[in-house]
This record gives sequence, C-alpha cells and structure tokens, in this order.
Amino acid sequence: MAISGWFKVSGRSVFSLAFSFHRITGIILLIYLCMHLAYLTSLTDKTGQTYEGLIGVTVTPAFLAFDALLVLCGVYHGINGLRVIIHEFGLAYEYRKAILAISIVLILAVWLYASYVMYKLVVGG
Amino acid sequence: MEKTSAKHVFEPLAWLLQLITGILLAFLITIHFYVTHLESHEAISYAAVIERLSSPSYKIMYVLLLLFVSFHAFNGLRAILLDTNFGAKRRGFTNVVTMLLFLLAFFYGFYLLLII
Repeated sequence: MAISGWFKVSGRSVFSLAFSFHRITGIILLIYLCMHLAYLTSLTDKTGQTYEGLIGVTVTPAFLAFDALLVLCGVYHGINGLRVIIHEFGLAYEYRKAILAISIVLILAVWLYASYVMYKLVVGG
Repeated sequence: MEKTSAKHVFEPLAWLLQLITGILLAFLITIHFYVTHLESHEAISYAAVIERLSSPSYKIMYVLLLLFVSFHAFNGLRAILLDTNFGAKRRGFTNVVTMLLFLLAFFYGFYLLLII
C-alpha cells in the first residue's frame, strides 16, 4: 500500500485501518524519540538551568493537549503492537475481531487514565 | 540446497528483534512513564533526574531502554521505507542508512548517560 493509502478510510477493514494507525503513530513516536534525545541534552548543563528552563515551558497547561496526543500514540502503538504479536504467533486468530475491540477499549481506558493523572500533575487538583 | 547468507538471515532476525524489543518496550516505557509522570511532579526536577541517574540500576535500565527503543524505532522506519517504491529500489541503501541512524541515536543517548 502506498503511504497515501494509509489516510484513506472508506472501503477498508478495521484491521487495515489499525495497520495504518500503527505506522502513523510509529512515525510520530520516532520523531518524538529524536526530540526527546535533543531535549535531554539540556541535562549536560550542570547548573540545571537549561533543563529547568525547558521544563518551565513544556510542563504547562498549554502543552497538555500535545502530551495527551503523544500518550495516545504511545498507548495505541504499544497495545496494538501486542495484539499484532499475538496473531503473528498464530494465536487466537478466530477471535481477532473481539481482540481488536478489547484492545480499543483498553487503549481508550489507559489513555484517559494517563491523561487525567498528567492533568492533575500539571494543573493541580 | 540454498546457501545461508547474511542477506537471508537479516530479515527474519530483524523481524524477531522488532517483536522482542516491542514486548520489552511495552514494560520499560510503562515503568519510565510511571516513574517520571505518575508518582509525583518532583520526579522530573533536575535534582531528581540527576539522583536517579546516579543509581546503577536506573542507569542500566535506561541503557537497555535506549538500546531497545532506538533499534525498534529505526528498524520500524526501515520496514516502512522498504514498503515504498523508493526503499524497494534501494534495499541496501535503506538498510545501511536506517541501521546507522539507530546506532547514532543509541550512542548519542549513551554518551549523554555517561556524562550526565
């Protein structure tokens, strides 16, 4: 499938859509990994000022939406990846629809929980 | 009988390592996220980060996390690129560049862990 095909929705099975989302979230997480390593370079300033300065900008209510979207990408990629691994071993293939449904419920539950805890940490309450 | 060469071994090995690192990352990233975000806000202060990095067990965990995540990310990129016309026509080039990027990300993070 060409990359442009990842973004088509109509006429596709949920498994094909799950595959596209896996690749899209994977690329987002790859970009985040590079950004994360660049961010952590600030720790080389032994006074801690550069790192704390970045924390002051990124650990703020304005950044919460980005954090929540990033966590959604991570949770989706992780849980969907484990689902794919189960089937790669030829296991539970006859239950693939039910397992996909359970995975989606699990992804939403973990994402909402993690986002709620991050909200409490950043905004308080 | 077909001869076993590095080319024949590389793809199944990369697939197997992608699978193994994926399972390990699900656990390690959950721990990393829990420690840095869910326990307390102070966990990401400069002092707390330096204190964690002074512990050998945390340091080993971060080296492993870095190794697994760097491989998984750039091997995943390799698989995506090989599915495109560009990558399919340049398999060797795609393999070499993505594996070099994996090593670059790992050694850069490892260097940071050593000097911090």
